[in-house]
Amino acid sequence: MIFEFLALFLGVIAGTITGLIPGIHINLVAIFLVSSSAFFLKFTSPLSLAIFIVSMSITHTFLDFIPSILLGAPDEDTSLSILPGHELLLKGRGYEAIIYTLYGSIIAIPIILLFTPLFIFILPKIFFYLKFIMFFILVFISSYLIIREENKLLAFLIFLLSGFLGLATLNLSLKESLLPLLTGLFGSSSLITSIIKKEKIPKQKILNFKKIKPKIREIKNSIIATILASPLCSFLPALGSSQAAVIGSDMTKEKNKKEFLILLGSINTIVMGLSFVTLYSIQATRTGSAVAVQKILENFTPNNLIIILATIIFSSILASFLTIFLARFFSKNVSRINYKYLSMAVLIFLAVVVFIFSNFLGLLIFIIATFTGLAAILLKVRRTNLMGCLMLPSILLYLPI
Amino acid sequence: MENLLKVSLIISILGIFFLLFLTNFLAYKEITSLSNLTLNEKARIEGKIIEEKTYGEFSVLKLKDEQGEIEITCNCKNFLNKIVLVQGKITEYKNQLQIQVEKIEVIEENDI
Repeated sequence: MIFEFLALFLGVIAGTITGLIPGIHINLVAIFLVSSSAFFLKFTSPLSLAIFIVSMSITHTFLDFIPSILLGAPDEDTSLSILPGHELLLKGRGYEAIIYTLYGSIIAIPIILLFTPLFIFILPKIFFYLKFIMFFILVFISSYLIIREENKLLAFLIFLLSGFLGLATLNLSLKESLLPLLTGLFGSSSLITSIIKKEKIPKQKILNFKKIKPKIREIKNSIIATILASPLCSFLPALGSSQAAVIGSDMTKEKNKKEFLILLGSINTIVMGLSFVTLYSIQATRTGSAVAVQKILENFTPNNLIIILATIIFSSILASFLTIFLARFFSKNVSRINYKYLSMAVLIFLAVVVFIFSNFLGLLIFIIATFTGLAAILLKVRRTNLMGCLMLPSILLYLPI
Repeated sequence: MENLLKVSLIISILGIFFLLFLTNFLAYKEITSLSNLTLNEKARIEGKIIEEKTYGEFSVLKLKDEQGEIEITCNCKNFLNKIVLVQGKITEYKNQLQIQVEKIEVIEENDI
């Protein structure tokens, strides 16, 4: 029991670190853990290691909004948060933006518990049939995301460009192929925009946590949107939190920045939490962390699921306090640093990470993806269309021929 | 900004074409050792099909070469006892690596 609690606390610490490092997606950490699991299993049990992964992953989903909002360096799950989050940051309200995503992550926990029985009893019955209509669902969602754009032709162009980039990348023998692809499309392109625009971050207002209160109506709208959208990306391939958030916000007709940030926070955490439930119910792995848990826990028993759900609850409580504390600390200090140099340093850091994990070829993909991402920003096309990089290959994979 | 947009679009389009071109050359790595396979890597291997289980359109084949045996999966059939060249992606099923076939061609109809 002591080891399990220790694993939970260590997971929270690890998730805090990975969440705060700009542009690092939790999948990357999970892959590293899987490859080194034989080493860790010498010192601990598979269950403790699984607890560590779950608490790290959940904590990561709470904290990764701090770099994505304050530095504009998202991973693919938080990529959409830059827009409303960055806008608030430039008005000195970055701390507030992070707290809204925290509200979302907290809301996510009871929703995960609510969905768990549905995913266990209903999903296995319908999943078999879902596979046959997956192609049509993916085409419908892609078309929907393009049609809602002001300039549909440009959105379609960006979708196709990123789609072909994704196809080429996934067909090359490359380690961690998603890393250069997504870091380039979403991370480095927005960093370059910040550097070019010579953005200066104003002094951030640090309000008392109790004063940052969304209205009941805003919370209610976000919950409805989350309930409608999050199951989509919990078992559909290629659909990220960002797309689910766009669909969710359209379904509920909400256009308010606060609600959107709450929605992004909740979907980000729900997708992670429910990925462990889908692993149990249909043995499908929707996140890298679920893959890691699957490989470490050979038998996923109902008892394991209960322990994992308890881990989600406890780690989210700890992560909430850590997010408030660290968001306050970093928001206070972000205006003191030279944003241009910081963005450059983050950009170099991302390039080095890509090079270490994916080699020269990865670096080439990273550069091409960066310019594709830049083209989307400069053409004023929503960057959710850049997820064509995963949507198009998935559509072709499920092509019913 | 206008110039940057042009540069971004040109690099993006040319780069994507270049990467698609590269996939023809770099996509498949010759398997030299069955004990050293990397998950998600594209690989090419030559060997004999020594077992074939068919489930409707879907088949699970066992390929044997000088280094050992590996399972391969495909929507194909009637390859038993044939020498084949397989191209595909290394995947994992129940903690065992296997090759998901993208292309399979018969090199010799009969045993060596």
